[in-house]
Amino acid sequence: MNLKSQQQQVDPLEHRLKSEAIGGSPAFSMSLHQRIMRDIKSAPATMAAPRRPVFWRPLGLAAVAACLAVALLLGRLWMEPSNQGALESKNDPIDVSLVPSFDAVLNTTKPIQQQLKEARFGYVDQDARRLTQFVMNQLDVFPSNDNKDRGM
Amino acid sequence: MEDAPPTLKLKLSDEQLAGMALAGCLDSFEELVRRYQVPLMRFLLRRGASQPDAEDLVQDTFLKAYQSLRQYNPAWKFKTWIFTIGYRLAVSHYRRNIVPPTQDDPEEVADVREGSLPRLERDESKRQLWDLARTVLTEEQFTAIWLYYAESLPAAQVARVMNRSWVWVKTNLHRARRKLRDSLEERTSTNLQTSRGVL
Repeated sequence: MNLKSQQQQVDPLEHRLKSEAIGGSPAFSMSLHQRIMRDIKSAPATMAAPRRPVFWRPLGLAAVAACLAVALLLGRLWMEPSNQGALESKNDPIDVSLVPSFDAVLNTTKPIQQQLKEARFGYVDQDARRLTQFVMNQLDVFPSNDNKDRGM
Repeated sequence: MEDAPPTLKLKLSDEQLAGMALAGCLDSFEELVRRYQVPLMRFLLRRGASQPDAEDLVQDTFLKAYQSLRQYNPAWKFKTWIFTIGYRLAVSHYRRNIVPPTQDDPEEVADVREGSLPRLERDESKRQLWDLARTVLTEEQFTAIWLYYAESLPAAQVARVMNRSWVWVKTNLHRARRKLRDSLEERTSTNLQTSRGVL
């Protein structure tokens, strides 16, 4: 016995719903039919004209296709990693004459060496003050007495 | 467009007739009206519309379908499309008029008016389950179950008619069946108790 026939046997409710739906059907009414057709014939002829081919539809489709193509192209250009410049520079010979000598670099930085050293610690005192303030603010958040919260 | 002979029209599918109607063949549309007048009336009456309301709604449905035939996509069943229009017109009609659908069976009213009591008695036994369904189910559940079982629309098409998801339809069909089963069992046990009490 296949599944379908099993289901038909198992569910008599569905069978009843189908069979009883037809019972008590209204009869075909000729007067209503004539009324409907009279109504349709006297209706404004919005439908009467057969469907004409719409000339702009292919144009619209073409425009959509073109937009998609452009979007795809731009997307591809955007997503593609551009390593062309790196390759070119890799192969380019380096102009050694433009690189300053080590002594020249030393001579340039020597006068400001002290300033550079000081600058490294320039804001340490301010930072330390801010840190202390921050820690103090955070401590205020916690209750000083745990027993208070417990209602003791 | 040149009209097809009447015998040929009977053999054509709804979708083919709709296509011919779209091309300007009014007779093809008339054949569709002939095919769907009774199913639509039955659907609307079952949803609780009165006879005059149901007739007006059927008329409006066909008029709207004719006027918007250009929007019909032949890839979809014509039956689904016409029921979608009918269902939405009925919903907006009752929303506009606020008065809820009548609880009296309109067919009974019509039959009594026409003086055909024997038919009323004959049909009574065949309508019990659907009468019960209308009492215990919500309006949307009733519509879903009607379209699925009485009109044999697949769940996907029911979802399209009701502007709901396929999952919603499947869930509500299941709930509606369960509700109906429970009510039937309850009714049966009550009847048994009553008969034992009489004996």
